[in-house]
Amino acid sequence: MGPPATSSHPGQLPRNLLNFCRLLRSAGLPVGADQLLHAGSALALVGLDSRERVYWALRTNLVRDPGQFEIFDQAFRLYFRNPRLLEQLMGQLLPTLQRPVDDDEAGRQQVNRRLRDALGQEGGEPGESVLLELDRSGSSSDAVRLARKDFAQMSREEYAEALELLRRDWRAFPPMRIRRYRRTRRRGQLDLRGTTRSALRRGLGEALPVLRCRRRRPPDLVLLVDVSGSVSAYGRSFLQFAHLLAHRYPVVRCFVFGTRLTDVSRLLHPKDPDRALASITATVPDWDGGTRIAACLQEFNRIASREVLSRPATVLLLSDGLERGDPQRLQEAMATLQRRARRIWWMNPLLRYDRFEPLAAGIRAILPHADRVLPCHNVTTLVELASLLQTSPGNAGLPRQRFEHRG
Amino acid sequence: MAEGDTTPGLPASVEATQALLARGDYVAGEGLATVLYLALAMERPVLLEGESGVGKTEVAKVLATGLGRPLIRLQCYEGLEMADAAFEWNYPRQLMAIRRAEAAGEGAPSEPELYGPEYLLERPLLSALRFEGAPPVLLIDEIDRADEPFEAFLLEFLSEFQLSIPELGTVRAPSPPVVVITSNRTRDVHDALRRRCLYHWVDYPGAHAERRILALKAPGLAEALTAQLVDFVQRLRGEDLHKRPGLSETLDWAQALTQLDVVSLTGPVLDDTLGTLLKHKDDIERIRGSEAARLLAEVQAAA
Repeated sequence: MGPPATSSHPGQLPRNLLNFCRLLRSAGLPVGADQLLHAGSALALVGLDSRERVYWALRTNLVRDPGQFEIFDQAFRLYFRNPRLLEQLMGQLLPTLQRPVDDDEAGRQQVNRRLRDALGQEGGEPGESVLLELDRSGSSSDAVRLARKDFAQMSREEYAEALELLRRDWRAFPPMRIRRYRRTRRRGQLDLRGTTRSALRRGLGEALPVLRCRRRRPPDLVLLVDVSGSVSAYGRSFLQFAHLLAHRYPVVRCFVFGTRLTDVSRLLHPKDPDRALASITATVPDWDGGTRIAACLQEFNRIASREVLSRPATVLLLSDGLERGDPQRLQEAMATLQRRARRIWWMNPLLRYDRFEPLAAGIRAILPHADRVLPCHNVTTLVELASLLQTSPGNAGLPRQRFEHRG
Repeated sequence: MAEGDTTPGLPASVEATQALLARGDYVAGEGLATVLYLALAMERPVLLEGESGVGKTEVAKVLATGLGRPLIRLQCYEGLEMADAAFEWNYPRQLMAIRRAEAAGEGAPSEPELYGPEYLLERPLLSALRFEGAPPVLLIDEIDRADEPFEAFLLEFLSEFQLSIPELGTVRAPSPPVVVITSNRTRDVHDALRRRCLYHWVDYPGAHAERRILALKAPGLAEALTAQLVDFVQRLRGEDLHKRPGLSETLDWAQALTQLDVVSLTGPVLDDTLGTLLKHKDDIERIRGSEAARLLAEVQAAA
């Protein structure tokens, strides 16, 4: 290794770099202290003579996602043209760059408001609200009634309670573990590591063969959620459910569509469901609007072939299937989707009607390509869906074509 | 392509890195050269992301040849396990040793005896830590194909260049190997792994770079045809496709055209050889015929 190039302004460099990283952070790039240090030594190595090299040395250390290149480029251009300019520009620059942070702030405020509201009503003691919740779970007839009530017919308070109920019932499912092998007493392959250990302890004659088998891997999930006018109430509650799924299953991708498709997978990451939902509502442009199912599915197929369905996944499609466009196109899009997915479950809110019959052209186009058609209009149906996901292993299963009225 | 028997030292500057890559017929932009220079100088792993076929894997091969180091390759796949990636105990030999000791009436051998280094089977990660001479180049290819538990397992390896083997203790490299990790970005690699690496996005080459690469890799092709071909591919990448053609597809196509003794691009030639560029049935159907003719006309008009 050659001697590190000496920088021309040894004293100046760290402070400049520090300010630059501050700018990046305020623009929403998560720059850690370790990265800052690495960037510093990288600069010492490449020197400061070539602007281009400074750019690459900083980018490779400070940015880890191609989606962030644009912000980095803007910041770099602004900052290294004239660092003095920065202070004057700070004011003008930040509103445009700070958008993600702003959204976050809005979400946080909303959460705070909710917290305040909740505490205000219960007399300001968090402990009390927990007690109240426990109380409520005791009166089971109320809970049962609420669990079966249609999402779209709930009052605001009932809806909040229903979500609470959903989260509580959900907790009944043990978290899935994804260690890849486990010991077994019955059939399995010989675990030589364990067997050798046993032979060492007990002697070869007494050694017991240790068997192991593959642990089940929870399925990768892809959720396609219709939020157009006719189903948005169910879409909204399904996204609450999606938030729960995203924190339990290792791989969950979630897309929301009406007239166009939006990838909201990352927005489900915050732990607080209200905050996650707030940012999704803010991001999705076509909430409560019209439907273009075929176009959105085609768009999904286009992206999916590159990354989302690179491994076969369970696709949960929430939609009423009421498409105004060409049913032929919808059928083709569904056929492509079916070829790539491990299985498709169609969550159709219309199944809340006992006498539902698949007459509309759009519904008839989707139907042949769905492995199951399930209801999703109340808490009970969603909890049952959760148990179905957990009990059915990742096998393709026999295509079961029937309507499963429940709840 | 290995030349000379003295192992060359690490490049001392970005220019030297670029020259080293050029000796392996690898045309690297300023960005990639800077990142690789830093990776070597700072002794940190480098994570290369990009579409398939843009030459990510090739970087590791060229580095190994250029530095005169052995290349150790770990191809990732779903369900990849420590036993395949890092190390495994030689169980038949261990059982045999127990049997022998029992037959000799000595009772079972002690645990340290049975879990000694001579019973350890090396897999790529471990052999990248236990080497003689200059540290090797370790290529961890297509990390996005492995699953999350494997990524988590790599963290210790990448930050400390060491492996913990429960029965034996910690194996540490005398000096850090050169580590190149590639990902096609079929899924996001975990942030914890990213932050242990220098990150670089390998893009499709620009027209100028692609012509230079073709001149190096397909010298049989006439200059005018090379220019046409590159222009066509560059335009094709602008189309709405399932899978845009990468550099390796361009090279395949150049190869095909050389084999067919083509002197200039025409509609029929295009339609016949489109399969080397596009690997999706839908894409081929979309481009073949009129679309291809339109692109070709644009290429000829621009020439």
